Amino acid sequence: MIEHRCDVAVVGSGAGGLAAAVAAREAGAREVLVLERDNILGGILPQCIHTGFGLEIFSEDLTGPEYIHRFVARALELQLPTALNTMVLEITSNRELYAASPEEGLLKIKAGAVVLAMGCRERTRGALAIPGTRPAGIMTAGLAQRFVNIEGYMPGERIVVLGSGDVGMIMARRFTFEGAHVEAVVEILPYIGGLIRNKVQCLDDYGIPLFLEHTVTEILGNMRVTGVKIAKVNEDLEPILETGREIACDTLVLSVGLIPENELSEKLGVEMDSVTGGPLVNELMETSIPGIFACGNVVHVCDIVDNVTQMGLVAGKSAARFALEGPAETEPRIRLRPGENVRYVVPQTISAARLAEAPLPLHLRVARPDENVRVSIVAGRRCIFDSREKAVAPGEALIASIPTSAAEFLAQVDELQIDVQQVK
Amino acid sequence: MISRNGNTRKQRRERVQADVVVVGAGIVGSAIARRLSRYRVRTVLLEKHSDVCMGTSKSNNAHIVCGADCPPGKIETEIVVRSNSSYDRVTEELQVPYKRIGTAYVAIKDEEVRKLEAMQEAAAKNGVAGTRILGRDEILEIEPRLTGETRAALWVPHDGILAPYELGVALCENAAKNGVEIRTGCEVKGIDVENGAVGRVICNGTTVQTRVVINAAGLFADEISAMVGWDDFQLYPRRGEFYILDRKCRFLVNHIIYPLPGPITRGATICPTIDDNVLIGPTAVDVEDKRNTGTTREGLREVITGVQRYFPEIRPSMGVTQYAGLRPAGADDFIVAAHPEVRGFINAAGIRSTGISACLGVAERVEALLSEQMELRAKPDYNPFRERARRFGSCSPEEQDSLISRNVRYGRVVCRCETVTEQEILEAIYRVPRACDLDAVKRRTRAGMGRCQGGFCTTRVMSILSRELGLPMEMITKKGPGSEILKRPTKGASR
Repeated sequence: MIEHRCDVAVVGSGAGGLAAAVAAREAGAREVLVLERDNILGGILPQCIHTGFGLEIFSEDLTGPEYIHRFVARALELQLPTALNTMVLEITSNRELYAASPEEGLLKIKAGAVVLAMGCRERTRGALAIPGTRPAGIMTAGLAQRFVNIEGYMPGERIVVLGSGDVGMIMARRFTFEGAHVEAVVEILPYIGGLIRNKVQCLDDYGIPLFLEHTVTEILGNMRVTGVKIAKVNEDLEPILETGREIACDTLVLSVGLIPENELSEKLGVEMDSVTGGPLVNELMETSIPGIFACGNVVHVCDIVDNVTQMGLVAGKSAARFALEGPAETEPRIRLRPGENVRYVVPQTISAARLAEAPLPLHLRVARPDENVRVSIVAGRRCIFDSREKAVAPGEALIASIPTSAAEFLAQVDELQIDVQQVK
Repeated sequence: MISRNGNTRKQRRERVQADVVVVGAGIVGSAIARRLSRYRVRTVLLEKHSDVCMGTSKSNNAHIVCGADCPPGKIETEIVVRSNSSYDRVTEELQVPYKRIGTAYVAIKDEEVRKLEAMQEAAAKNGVAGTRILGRDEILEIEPRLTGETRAALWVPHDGILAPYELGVALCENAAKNGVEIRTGCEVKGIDVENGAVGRVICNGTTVQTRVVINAAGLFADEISAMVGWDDFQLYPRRGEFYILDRKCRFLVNHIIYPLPGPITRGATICPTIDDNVLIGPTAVDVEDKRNTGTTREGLREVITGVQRYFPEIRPSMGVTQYAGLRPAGADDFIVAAHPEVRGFINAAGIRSTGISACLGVAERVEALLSEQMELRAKPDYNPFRERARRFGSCSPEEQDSLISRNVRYGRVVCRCETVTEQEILEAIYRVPRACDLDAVKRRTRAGMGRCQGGFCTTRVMSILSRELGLPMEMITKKGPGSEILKRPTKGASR
């Protein structure tokens, strides 16, 4: 068994992992090792050939491959060692990693700090328990995207998309470009799951019908999908079967949510947030286990890649500091509590002392859509942040910033509540 | 067949010689084929699907029962009870993981508690000893997640679990190693009877000349039997729907848990699987279409609510996948017998849901019937052992290191959720019976069976199949012809 040592080991080379690796190196970590299970760097981005990446970070409208290439190029420039085709099998709490690689066999890596950047995976038919047969032609949107954009094959000609996540809507357009017919996009909720801009640019512009408050009630066909039954749903999201009808199709694409990929994190034993599905982190992106950091979709599923990168930069810098200087001083933690119409907040804890250095952005996701709302961060009776939003939706995360001026006051509290309330 | 220039021409029928034809490579046919492979008998195993073990044998509750609650006085019960001890030996010979974890029949209501003793007596009459009635504290100690309303349970220690498709594939692998010819994609269309004896078996594309036909066609055994005029039984499908729960739920249950059996079926079980998922189900609904293995909204709901009575923590969201199996109903009992008039025709028909638990016993009975029709001479070189393919994911770090150093393909993890390596997939493809599609690879290796259900590994497994079978990607299927995954190259895709 080959043993390596490094300052920072980064698990995953998507947007989060590469940002963390680059940031760790720039923050002074000498040995930064990126472990990637695929045969190329970049995670899912090489297959995301649509635009819309980088608007926040670069103020440019880039494709996925263009966006990630900037970080790959930077990693090469910094001569960061990368281990491709390398699958991390286990991480221990004293920061040892075991990984399988065809070239090197089983690797044992002792790291000063570890960054978890494994990304997320897609929810499946089984998680939804869609009744019906089990033919060929049922796939997640990400798999369909890989077939079309990487492998160069069309997996169907007449397609129904269940769920209105971003990848699903983008794939509806992509299928249309390739000459296939998208019969319908079916969404169980009264609003879409992804970004409004994707509904406009991917569905409306191509006349693809969107059925809100509908779901697929049965899959038909023994060897290949021959159709699906859809029906309207009631307030409890139960299908009203009398409203059902059959749509002939050969493919059902599922875009019904993403789940942080935390098998390694859970085996490692970091504390998890049952709402985000990711580890609990502080403002340094450090998990409950010292020296283990996390960023990107492992922590919570982000809407845009720019947010993943931002988290990666914080995690990488923090990991480098941990590896070089040891654990940050333990200080009283302030817990962030999701209040009115807030499903979750990331990070889940912050430290007042570090707030003195720079304002601290919080990412929060609402539980339901609303209009004319006030986003507030409250400690006891005092409001330390307040902003107005015209419209909020679960598909679009909000950012609330705690100002540095609040640092002194925060030293005296142990909990903050975040609310999104309608302004009367 | 389509020739190169597009003209159709009639394909020449392939002619095959056999002593014995076994119809159906489900668990029963596979067990029979392996049993016969110890003799100097040319055995051909015919399967209409693209792989073995594709019907009821892959979609059931995966229990090996000892017969405690089987109906008294039936041949079925006798076979189940008597062959139970064989499972230890055979699973060891074939290296098929098998655990006797035991069953608890759980009583909640007063009248159920009163039934337990009668059930225990019935078990004893069936020849099942060693059962015990457990008090509330005893059962809750071994099953702490059971509802607090539990009053008592009947404990049957001998029942066990295994992966039925793994047993099926292993039986076939060992049969093939000992000379049995397995033909998949080969559907029996007719059986010629000449001078009161079985002669030719007509299949799609193939004719097999044989002395004996053994009918192990499962749900379709009535149709095969009718081909030689034995048509006094009819089988119809009884649908059972199941949920497989995430491995994270494994802590919920330690044994096979049943409610008390109802008048029609044993009710829905909850139990761990041999691969540490949790299985719940089945329902029991008589249907008409023998080919429709779809699940239903009502059925899936019934499975969840049925089990919630015993395990209130169960939620539909714990599901990884769902499936339905069609078990044959309609026969009063197993029909394991030779045709009274047509020489050379043996039925192993009417095998109900207990087929997995009975297949070894049925095979022995068929062997005895066959010995009355032909001389069975032992092969001196018969080898009952089958070496299981290494599972990289369940090896220690040291073993993993040594596996990769000997073969780099163990270092390429293809399925991330289940940690399945390229080498394991290659073994599935090259061991006979060969895995030639995604589902066949999945059943042998678990690639695609995990949480992401193939989201990541599908393209990778397809590429390996394409490379090894020398087929273009568009011809790779999920489960045989007609289930191709891809339609065509994208515009301007070059390859």
